[in-house]
Amino acid sequence: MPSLSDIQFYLPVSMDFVMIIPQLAILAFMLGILLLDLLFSDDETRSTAAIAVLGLACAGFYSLRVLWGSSSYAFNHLLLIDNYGLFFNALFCGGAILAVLISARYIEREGMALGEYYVILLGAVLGMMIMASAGSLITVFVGIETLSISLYALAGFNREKPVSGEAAIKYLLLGSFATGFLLYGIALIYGTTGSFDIITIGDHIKAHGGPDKVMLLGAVLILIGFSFKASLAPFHMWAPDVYQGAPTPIAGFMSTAAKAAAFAVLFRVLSIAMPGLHKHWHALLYVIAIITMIIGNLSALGQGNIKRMLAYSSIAHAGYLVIAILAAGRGEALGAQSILFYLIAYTLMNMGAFGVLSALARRNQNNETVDSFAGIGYRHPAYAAAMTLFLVSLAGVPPTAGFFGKFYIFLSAVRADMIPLAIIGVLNAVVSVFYYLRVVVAMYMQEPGEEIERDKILWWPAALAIGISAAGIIAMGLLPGRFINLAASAILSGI
Amino acid sequence: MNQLNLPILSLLIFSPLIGVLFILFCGRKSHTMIRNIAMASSLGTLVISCVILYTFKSHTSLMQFEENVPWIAQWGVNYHLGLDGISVLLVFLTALLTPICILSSWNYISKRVKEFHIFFLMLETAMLGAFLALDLVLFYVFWEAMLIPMYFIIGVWGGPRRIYAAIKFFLFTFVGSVFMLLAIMTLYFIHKDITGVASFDLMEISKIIVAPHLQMWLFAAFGLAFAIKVPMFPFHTWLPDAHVEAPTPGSVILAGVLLKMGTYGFMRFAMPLFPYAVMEYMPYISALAVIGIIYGALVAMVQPDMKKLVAYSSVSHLGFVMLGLFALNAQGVQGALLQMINHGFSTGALFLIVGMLYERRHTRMIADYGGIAKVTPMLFVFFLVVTLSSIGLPGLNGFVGEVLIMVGAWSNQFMDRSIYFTIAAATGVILAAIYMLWMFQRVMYGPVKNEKNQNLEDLSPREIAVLAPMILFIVWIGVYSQPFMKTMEASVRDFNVQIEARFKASLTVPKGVKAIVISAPQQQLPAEEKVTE
Repeated sequence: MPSLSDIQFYLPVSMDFVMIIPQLAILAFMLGILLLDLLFSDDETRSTAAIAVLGLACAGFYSLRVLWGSSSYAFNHLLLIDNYGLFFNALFCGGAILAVLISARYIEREGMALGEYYVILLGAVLGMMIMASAGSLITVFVGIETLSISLYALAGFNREKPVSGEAAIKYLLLGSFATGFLLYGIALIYGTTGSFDIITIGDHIKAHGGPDKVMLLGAVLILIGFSFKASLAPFHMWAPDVYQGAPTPIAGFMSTAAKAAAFAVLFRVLSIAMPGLHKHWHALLYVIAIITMIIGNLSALGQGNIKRMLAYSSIAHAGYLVIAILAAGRGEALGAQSILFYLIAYTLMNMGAFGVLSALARRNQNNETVDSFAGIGYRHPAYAAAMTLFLVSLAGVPPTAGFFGKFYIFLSAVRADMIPLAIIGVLNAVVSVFYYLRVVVAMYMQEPGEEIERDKILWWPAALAIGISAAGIIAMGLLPGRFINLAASAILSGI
Repeated sequence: MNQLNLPILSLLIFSPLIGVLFILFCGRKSHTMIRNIAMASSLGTLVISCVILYTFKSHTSLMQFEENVPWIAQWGVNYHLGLDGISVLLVFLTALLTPICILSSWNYISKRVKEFHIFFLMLETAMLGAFLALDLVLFYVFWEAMLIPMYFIIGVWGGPRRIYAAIKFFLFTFVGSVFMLLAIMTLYFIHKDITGVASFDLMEISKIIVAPHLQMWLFAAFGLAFAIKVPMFPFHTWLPDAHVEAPTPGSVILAGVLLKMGTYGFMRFAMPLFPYAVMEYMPYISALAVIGIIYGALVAMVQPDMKKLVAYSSVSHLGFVMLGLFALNAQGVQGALLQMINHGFSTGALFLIVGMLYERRHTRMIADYGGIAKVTPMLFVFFLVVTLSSIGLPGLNGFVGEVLIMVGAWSNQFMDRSIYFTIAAATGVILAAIYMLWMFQRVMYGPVKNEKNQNLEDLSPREIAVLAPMILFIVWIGVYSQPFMKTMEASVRDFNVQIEARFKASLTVPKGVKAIVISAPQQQLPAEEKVTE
């Protein structure tokens, strides 16, 4: 046990603050919006949205353009500032910008236009950024809690709708339970290795050879905590209910950016703190990958509600990502890169799909079912075309981002000699085609039933978000080279 | 560059998309305008393909008009296009059938005209790309990209069970292709490990020969994708559904071009890359081909629905193609390649005629017709020629292909008892005569039983324009097939030489080694031909 005199006190220097300018920017805009919101009239949330987009854009730009390439620590190893974390900063900001653009009209229509919406959304982004750059299990925990609490609030933001409240409560209860696991795991790891610092933990585990049982238990508990956040089976139960109940843009945000954050921290902790336990977590995640893909895809088959279907599909996509983590664990650089590439693609296509859903929604109408999409293809041709693109991309059909995402992951799996897993993966992709196409069938091949009133007003920010997503998907599908470079350079430094 | 000093293959592939661009700006209601643009654009593509055919040098088996630029440099994926004697006629067939289909849909497609033509032109781009791609990933992208437009064409403009048929078509093809994708990746890494070069380029990957036991697996994965597309028995079940439900132009393009994608895939990729597996699987594939020939014919015989009959006859005809292909000699492979083209014309024309009858009477049941010959003499003539071509009457195209295939299969030197396969296949020819003539007889001859058939209109000038080019080629190939054979001769010779050389090389792969690098056999130019620039 270190005595008090051993403890070195660390005083932050100005460099530390420079390194976390993106996080600080988000924080500043958060507080700024909170204050400005008092000046605006009650129903004026559009300016707030614009300010939020500005803040997110600044943080993302600063991460990608200014800090890019740095490889250092901040606050005595509490944060690792490297391309990996910066990449994720930008990804979160991008996902959040899309979410804000989609939300702008949605929250007005649903009668929940409050400036706090964006404040909490920025809070979630802040939590994610902390997670992705975490260098210590303490920061991991702080980040996850910041994110989770923001998401609990956002899931229940539609106070008039009972399902929204139900989603929030479910998420809160199960989420806190998972956090308990995580915390317990952190405690056990600290107890056995004497450190919160993931690099020190990694060195300790390597140096001391075979792990003892307590350490293993700790690692497993941490893994469970992360699996919950990433909605990996069998810890995925919350996802369908929460996505369905949460406001649509938030469901999109949770299934993309929040999931990306969970994978960011999962991969960083596994590859830095736990390479010594590789044999153990490899076996565990191997099974998790298989059951996640299978449960996600098979459950999605029977869903009549598109949001729920997308929730199960997002579980399945998490399964594919685990394959990439496994390949990366075997030392394949391709695997690590493919996680990042896939996450960009997935964020674009899923945000896009949720964007179309929320653009076509109308207050107090059950218009999220597959059947209610009948004939949309001819009534809202642009939205339907975009939705088709997103679904085809989710299914992994070329020439789209989703195809090269899957291509990348399976390429890494084949390289890592995990052909059986790759075969299970591609078969799952085949199953997924079926339920994605069901929506396409409804949109183009079924005659519309009774006319469902939909939002007639084309609100340009939502259309812009959908357009950005669609353009990104096509760009990644036709010329993936740039994005591969981005993913590769994010992996090279740091991890 | 190439003999034209133009990226002419890219121009060819993407020219339909220019039409798509124009159509996008058309009003939803301006049907004539959209049709004219689609027609003009596909005729433009046809002109480009004629230029290619005209400047094509038939004395060499080397790739021509090659274009090769890095596409995804990090993985070694190239945008590599090229054309040789194997693909040139298929490309021409694609470019020819597309305007014919668009013309045939003039009245048939009256709903959602804009979307239909957009999808159709996109389909053309994907088909041409798949025939011209010489990079495995590029090929795969085009191969899969064909699915989406075809899926819409069946699913939106098809018959009553169109949704079921469209999804079945999509899923069947997709299942096959994902295994091919994994095989492509495996092959890529084997190649990378042994040569140190990361490349999906077919020409690069052809420089290695994979160990026999791996060949068996990889061929199976490639073969499954292609066998589903061909379709070979027992993977054919999607075909009758897709054909019957698809609108006429969809059926024509499906039979005329998409099925050839499978046999072409065998020729271009699966067979040259895995010759050891070809030899090992040869008896099984030949057996399945023969089963397909007889089974397809027998099932066709009992169909009350004309379109279904033609669909099953495709299973039978494609069986011939596979049989000839796996004979691995000059006659067999040439016959198979020619039969691929023939089938495109004769079955395509059959679907067109069935579609024309359907437009008049809104039924495809054979029993609803009878005695049409007197009412519609023009239709009668066209139908007769096409029927006879499908049966393989001497003087028409089917005969040339089938005879070559039979001769090739008979003299297959790599397989014991190939004679029995040939004899069994020959019964398929007899069966074909039975089911086709029987259908023709029931539809055309006899008294006009049904009152409604009394006043059927004969072919309109547009319909004659649709059928005339098909008839032209049916007769041309039947009477004077020399020009067609000449385009493929060098490539087919080289194909057989390569397979044999690579087969011998695969036997020399030492145990425990995944692959060896081989030097490509020298391309031989026939002495009597002069290389003209």
